[in-house]
Amino acid sequence: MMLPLANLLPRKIRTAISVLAVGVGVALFLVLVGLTGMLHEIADRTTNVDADIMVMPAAGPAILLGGGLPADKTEARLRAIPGVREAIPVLCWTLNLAGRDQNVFAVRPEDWHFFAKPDAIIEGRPLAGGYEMIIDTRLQRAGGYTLGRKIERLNHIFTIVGIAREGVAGRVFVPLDTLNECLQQDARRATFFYVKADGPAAVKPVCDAISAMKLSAFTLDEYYARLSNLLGDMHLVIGGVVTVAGFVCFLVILLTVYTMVIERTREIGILKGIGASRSQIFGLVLAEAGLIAASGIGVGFLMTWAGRTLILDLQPLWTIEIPPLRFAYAAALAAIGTFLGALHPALRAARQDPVESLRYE
Amino acid sequence: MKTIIETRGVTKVYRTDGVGTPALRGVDLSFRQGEFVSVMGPSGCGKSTLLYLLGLLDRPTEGTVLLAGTDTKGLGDSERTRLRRSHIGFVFQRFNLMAAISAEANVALALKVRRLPVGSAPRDMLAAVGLDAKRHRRPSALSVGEQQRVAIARALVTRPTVLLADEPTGNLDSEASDRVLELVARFHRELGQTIVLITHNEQVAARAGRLVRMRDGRIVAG
Repeated sequence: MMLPLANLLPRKIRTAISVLAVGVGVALFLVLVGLTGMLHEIADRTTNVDADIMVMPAAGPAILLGGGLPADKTEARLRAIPGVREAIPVLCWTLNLAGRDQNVFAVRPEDWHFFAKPDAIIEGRPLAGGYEMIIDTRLQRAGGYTLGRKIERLNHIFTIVGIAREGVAGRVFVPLDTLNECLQQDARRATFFYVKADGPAAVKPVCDAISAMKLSAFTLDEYYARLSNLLGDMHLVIGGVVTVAGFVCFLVILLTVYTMVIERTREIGILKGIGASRSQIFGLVLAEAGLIAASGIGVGFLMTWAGRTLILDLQPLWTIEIPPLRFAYAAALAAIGTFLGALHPALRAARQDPVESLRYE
Repeated sequence: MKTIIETRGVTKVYRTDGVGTPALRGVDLSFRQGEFVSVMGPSGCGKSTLLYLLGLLDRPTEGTVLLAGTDTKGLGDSERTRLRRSHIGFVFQRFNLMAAISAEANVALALKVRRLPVGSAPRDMLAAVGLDAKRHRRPSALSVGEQQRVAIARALVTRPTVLLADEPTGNLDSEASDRVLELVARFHRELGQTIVLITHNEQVAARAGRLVRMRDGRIVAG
C-alpha cells in the first residue's frame, strides 16, 4: 500500500472528519449554484414565446403579476404602431397548486399558438374558453394532477383540459376572460403584452415607438438579461459561502495535516535517516493532504447528488441546475484550500531537523 | 584498506536557551572500508551525536566529516542527502519502522526514497534475516527483535558502503540481541560493509574488530 494512504487509514475518524469537511464545502457550493438555476429556468420559460418584445407598464417590475394595463386599449395602441404584427395580452396571477403559489398565465385561447408548438400539448387539448386550465408536466408530477381533474380556485371550479410539455411560458394557463371575470375586473386587464414584429429589422423601431408611449419595452433577450441580473445579489451570497467553505476547508486541512506532522515527527526523522530528501518529505505530506482533498471532492459530489435528489423530492417545482464546469470550479476550490492548508505543515516537516526528530518521544 | 569515513577535529555544541553544551570535543577518527568498529562509552558521552555526524544527519559546530573522500563541510542539504543515500545505511535503537506499512514495504521504502528499482530485493532481504513468512505484517505485529531485523534488512537492502547502528540491541533480550548481532556480523562478512556500531555493552562491543571508547565527548581509546 502506498505510504500516504497507509498513513491516513489508521486515523480513520480524523481522516473521515477532514474528508467530510471538504465534502460539505464542495456540496454547499454546488447546491447553491444549482439553486440559482431556478431563476434561469423562469427566464427561459418566460422568453420561450413566438414573439420579439415584452411590453409592461413604465418602470414595471421584472417579476410579472397583476393587471397594470387596460388590455383592449393597450392592444389597440400597440397594433397601431407600424411594424407590429401581433399584440398578445397576458394577465398574471397566482394560484395555489401543488402546495405552493404558481404564476398563472391568462391568455386568449386564440393566442395559444404563440406560447406552444402544436406538439407541446401531450395530453388533452388547448384552451377553448370558460373555466379551463392547462398545466405543464412538472406541475402535473408535483401535484399528481390528471387530465379532466376539477380544481376549485377563485371560487370557481376549473377543469384541467390539457397537459403541456414543461418549458412552455407558464406552468398554468387559463383563458384571459375567465381570469378577468374571476378577479371581477371592470374591464379586461393585462399584466404585460408580448409583441411580435414584422421582422428582425422592425424590432428596434417598434421598441422605440412603444417607449415613446410611456410603456416599458424590452426585447426578449433584454428581458432575460434583466431577470438574470436579479441573480446579482445571489452571486454575492454564493461568493460569501464559497469564501467561508474554502476557509473551513483550509482550516480543517491545516489542523489535520499539522497534527499528522507533529504526531509523526520521529517517523519523519527516520525517513530522512534512510535517505529521504526535503522535497520527498514535503511531497509525502502534500500527497496525504491531496488524498483527503480527492476523497472530499468525491464525497462532495455524492452529497451534491443526494442533496439535489432530496431537495427535488421535497420541492418538485424547484430547479437545481449545475453546469458541468461548476463541478470543476468546486474541485479547484477544494484543491486550492487543501494545498494552502497543507503548505505550512508540509514545509515544517520538510525542514524538520532529523536529529531532533529522531530524539522526539 | 582505504579510509571510507573520517572526522577531523569535530566538535559539536548543542545550544539551549543560549547555554552551550559540548557533546563532542575535537574528535579525530577514521574508519577503513570493510572495518567493523564498536563505539563504547557511558550514556551522554556523545556516541549517538558522533553517529549522526558520521551519517550526515547533523553538522559539526567545528571540524569536518569526510565521506568517501568528499569533504562535507560546505555541502548543502541536497548534496548531503545524496551522499547519505549513496553510502549510508542506518539502524536506530527503537521505534525505527514506519508503523502504518508492512515489513516488506518498510524495506522497499529505502529503495523508493533512493529511486532504485524495488523488484524482489525487499523480500530477498527479509528472507535473509529470517522474516520471509512475516513480511506482510506491520511492525506492531512483530516482536521487538523482529522489528530490529526488519530495520537491518531496510538498512542493507540498498547495499550501503557504511552501516551505522545506534545501539541496535539496546531494547532486546539476550537471545534476540545475539540473533541481531549474528546477522550484522554475517552481513559484514558477506557484503564487506564498514560497520560502526554504538553500544554500551562490552559483550556486544567485543564482536567488532576494533573498539573505540569515548568519554565526555572525547575519544579515549581506539
